[in-house]
Amino acid sequence: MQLWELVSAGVFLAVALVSGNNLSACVGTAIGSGVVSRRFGTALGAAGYVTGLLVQGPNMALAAQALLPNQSDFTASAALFVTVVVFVFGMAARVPLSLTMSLVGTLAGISIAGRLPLDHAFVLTVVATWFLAPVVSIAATFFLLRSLGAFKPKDIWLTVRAYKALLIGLSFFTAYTLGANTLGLVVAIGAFSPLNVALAVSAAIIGPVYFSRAQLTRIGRDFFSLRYSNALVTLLASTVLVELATLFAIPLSNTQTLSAGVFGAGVSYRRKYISARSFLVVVVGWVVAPLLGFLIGLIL
Amino acid sequence: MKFRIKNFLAIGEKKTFVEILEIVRLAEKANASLSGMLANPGGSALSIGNEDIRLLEKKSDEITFRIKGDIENGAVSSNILDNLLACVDVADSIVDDYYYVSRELNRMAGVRFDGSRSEHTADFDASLTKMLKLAADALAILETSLTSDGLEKIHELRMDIQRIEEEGDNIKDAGFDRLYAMASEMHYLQFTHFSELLHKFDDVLDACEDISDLVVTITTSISR
Repeated sequence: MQLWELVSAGVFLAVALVSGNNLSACVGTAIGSGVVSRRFGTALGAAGYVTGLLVQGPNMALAAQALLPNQSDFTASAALFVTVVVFVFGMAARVPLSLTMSLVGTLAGISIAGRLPLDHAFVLTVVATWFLAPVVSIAATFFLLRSLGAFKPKDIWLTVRAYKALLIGLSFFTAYTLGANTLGLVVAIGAFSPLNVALAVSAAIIGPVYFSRAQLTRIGRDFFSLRYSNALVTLLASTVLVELATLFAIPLSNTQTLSAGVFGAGVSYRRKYISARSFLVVVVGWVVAPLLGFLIGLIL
Repeated sequence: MKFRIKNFLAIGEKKTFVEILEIVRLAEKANASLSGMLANPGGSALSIGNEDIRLLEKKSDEITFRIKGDIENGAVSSNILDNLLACVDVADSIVDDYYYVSRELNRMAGVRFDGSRSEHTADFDASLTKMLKLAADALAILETSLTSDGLEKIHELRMDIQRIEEEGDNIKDAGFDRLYAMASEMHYLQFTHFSELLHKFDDVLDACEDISDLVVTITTSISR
């Protein structure tokens, strides 16, 4: 097997896994709240991924270049496969490890080990964003929900209808930002060649169909059994943050901003019912994923 | 066809409220039949009323089964699923209670007591009729609540139902005071009969209050 074939296989595998696993984060709220059927939600998510990947995905080539300068087929395929292994390990251990974070960690590790001219300023910006984004997400959902709490709708059903329409739109845009940011970065590692883009597009459709069922059921019903307003604000904060990051070509995990948003929604209530342990596991995943990727990247 | 936006414009929660309204209307009909049975305790009125309420109870069960299926498969937020299911069950329990009372009245009509023991019934029947009237008022308010689209209005209606329920509690308590005062002069069957009816009519008012509470919880949860 040629190295470029390995790169393409890595792109396909990574895109399929992340698009399947993260579908619940994008459309789980809409499915869990019963606004759309599972099948429609899957199609909505896949459409968002593909649109985001094609429209803004190429932006992430800047990030790939900064994190893995002078990339070769060997380094690209190694980075992609390490990331896939870390991600699968996380799935098997039921620990939410972000692919974006482990990928960035792996790229930085490979660059340092290979003495490549890694853009340290960019790495620092990425790390700072990872610290800042959850804080902003928590603060945004907290204040938005507090403001919404004071809102007294005149017509309940009109309000519910508006929430549901917005939820569908935001589900699409959340998938769009994931397609643009995370999937864009994955494809950028392997280069935005017609073959890689075609493989990524097909993986972005296949992944949600074959790799999302268990996550959708669990997260759609449990994690995202939120009020419409909570779901809406959480998705909004997450989507805006990831879109802003994409504009600056900064890799940012949707699940990170989304989990932080859910936590923000929880603390926005005067009576707080939050599973601090679950949130702590998620936070530990934010630290473990990039470090694990970085260490493996260094060893390679 | 599963590939669709589920009742996006129909709103699952509103549809469920409209369906619960069907049960509330059956309860209103059962209430009217029961009032007729209490007003005309002799002759065929009792058996006709009993049969009417039996059919209403059967219909209520069918609607309940259908709504529960709709709720579990419909465009309803999972965090209010349990409240909606509880709402349906409580509404159905009202019709069940009316059916239970109608059978009790029917059975009791066949029992003959001596003169002194049958004097007490008119007094208790008046209390029960008052409670039925209160239940009719509460059900009518519930009907308005289930079709309302304003949160404040729903809160006001809940307060109205609470006041009615408290009034019903007072009648029930007074009824029990009387019942215990007369216990030594009564046949045990009469005692348990009136005791049971007072409890059941109070249950109906409690159920109305429970539904109005659930309506407030559900509407607040989905709209804020």
